[in-house]
Amino acid sequence: MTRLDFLCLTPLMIVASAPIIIMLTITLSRNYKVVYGFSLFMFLAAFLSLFIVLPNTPYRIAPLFIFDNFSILLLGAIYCASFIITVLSYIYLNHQGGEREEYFIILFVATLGASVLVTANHFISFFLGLETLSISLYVLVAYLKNRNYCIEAGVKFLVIASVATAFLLFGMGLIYASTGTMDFKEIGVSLTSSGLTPLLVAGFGMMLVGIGFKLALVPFHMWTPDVYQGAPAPVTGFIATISKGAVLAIAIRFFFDVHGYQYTALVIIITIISVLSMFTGNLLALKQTNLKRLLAYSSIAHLGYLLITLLTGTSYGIQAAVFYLVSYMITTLGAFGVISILSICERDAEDLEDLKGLFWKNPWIAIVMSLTVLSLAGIPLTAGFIAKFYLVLAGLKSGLWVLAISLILNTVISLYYYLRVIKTMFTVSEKDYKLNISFTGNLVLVIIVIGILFLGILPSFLTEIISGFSTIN
Amino acid sequence: MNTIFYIAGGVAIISSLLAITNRNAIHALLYLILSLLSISVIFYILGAPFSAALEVIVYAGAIMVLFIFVVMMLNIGLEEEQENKWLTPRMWIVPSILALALLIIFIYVLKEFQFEKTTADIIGPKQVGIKMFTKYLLAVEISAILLLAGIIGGYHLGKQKKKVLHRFIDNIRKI
Repeated sequence: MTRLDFLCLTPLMIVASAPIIIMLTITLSRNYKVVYGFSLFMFLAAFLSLFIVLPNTPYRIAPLFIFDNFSILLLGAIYCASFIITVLSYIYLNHQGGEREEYFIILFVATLGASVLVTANHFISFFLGLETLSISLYVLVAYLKNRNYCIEAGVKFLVIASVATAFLLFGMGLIYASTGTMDFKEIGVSLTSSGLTPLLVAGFGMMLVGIGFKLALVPFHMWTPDVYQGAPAPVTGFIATISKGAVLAIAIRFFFDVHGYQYTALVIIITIISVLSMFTGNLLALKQTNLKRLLAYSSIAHLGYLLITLLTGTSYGIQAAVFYLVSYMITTLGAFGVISILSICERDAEDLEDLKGLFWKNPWIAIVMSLTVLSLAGIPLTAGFIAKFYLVLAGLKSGLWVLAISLILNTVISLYYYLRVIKTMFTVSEKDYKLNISFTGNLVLVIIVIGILFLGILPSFLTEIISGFSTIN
Repeated sequence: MNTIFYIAGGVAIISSLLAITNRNAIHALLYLILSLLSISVIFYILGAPFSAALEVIVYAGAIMVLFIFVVMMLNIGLEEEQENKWLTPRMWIVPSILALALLIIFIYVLKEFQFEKTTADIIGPKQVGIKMFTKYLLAVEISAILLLAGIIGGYHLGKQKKKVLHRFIDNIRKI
């Protein structure tokens, strides 16, 4: 390990040291507020330390990690999202009793897993990152163990994610058996000389099953609604943004490194999965009355859209993917932020009924929710519109007509259920709300609203950063 | 050589299937141990004695024995009765036969088998250790953090609030 190695690992080391420090302070005395403040500080430090790494990119710590612009940008997005989720979790857990300090320890470990995934370019770091993320997520999902749904969701997630991991590992084994290397780049080199043998197709297929489970793509999506519903709202936000974003990032890196878009078999499989995810997600969301389940199905559709970028095979596709991910992260955090803030001690504010008449009781929250929903639907002036526009453009540039048309069709379908959420908020209801939203809660919502509008009105700010960053080395 | 592989592989498949289908936790675990042992035999004849040893020590030895202990501990107070119920000859005869097959293979392999024919170089514990603490050091560190999450999660989810029962009810439970 050289000095530069340590320098580049700083963000990861900060995130890795936080859980240990928190654990040791807990043994002395428990103080929820101190742990919360410390968590915020550490996420901020991790984010700022990215600027130390930045001048040295691309830097490779052989054999496991690579720090290129793509990973730095996504690390930044992940740490910002973790910061927001920490604030939301604090508000959410504030009226829960019991031991709440461990939550932050595990949140840090999960973030570390996501960071490892984003920077990995080797099967070993891929697998370890994924496992670190999943194992901490099992705990986070089941964290409020007094609620019935939480434990159920945790067990479901545990069983299905373990099966997915087994598939992924078997796929990696098959690829390693036929190429003799676990490095992404070297696999790509060996593929170009050997072509796609049946053993390799089986390997890629199994890896796709594993990744599909984690991203909740269509034949493997069954766990999503139940886990989304059962998990505490901030954790659901974590799964929807950071976990899926990190897995998608490594999928993009792997697929681009092995030039998967050149092989017809893989392209056909991914096209089918993508179209199926879009239609299934949107059609199943139409009839949902539970807001969390609705967002779960909508996330299936969104990941279906994002799969398009895998097949583009251009740096333009990567840019579209990063922009879409960032805007999706902000928007989803907004939606789950509102749910977390509205939630009460015993249960989450997850039924559409809970939102009834929200506009007349608390216009500010209703406006935030409307904005996030409009952005998810892809209405102009919001981040979601520009992101979808980018995606369609990237798809068309690579000639992926089927996918682009099905994206547009699905956007139309999705409008129905997104607008229903807004309609519910504007109907008059006699129910009495007792809402006192803390200052930090409001602050987070303001940041999210500014983010959504800013990306929607002035996308060039982010696109310029991204176009300089979206190179996979 | 191939016959040995097929016998060991067959034992692995049969015992894994029985482990899944068995409704009794202890019996399922016994079959799982058997499956792990047969996999370690496969590792051995493939020319990876170190992996074979690890498979036996870590999985079949440490983890499975812990599992069985925990399952048995859950029925404190009724041990004798449970043990008699679990260990009827009908239950242990199939795993014993399968294990016997593995033992015969193992003795045969130890006597007759030469590694030189199957693989170029045999990787010993020393080489694995050197790789783990130089090239793959970071992977080891990440695994350490992963285990930390597992421990803390297990602690949090497994912890129960102390139930305050009346001592009269406690006494009834003991009987």
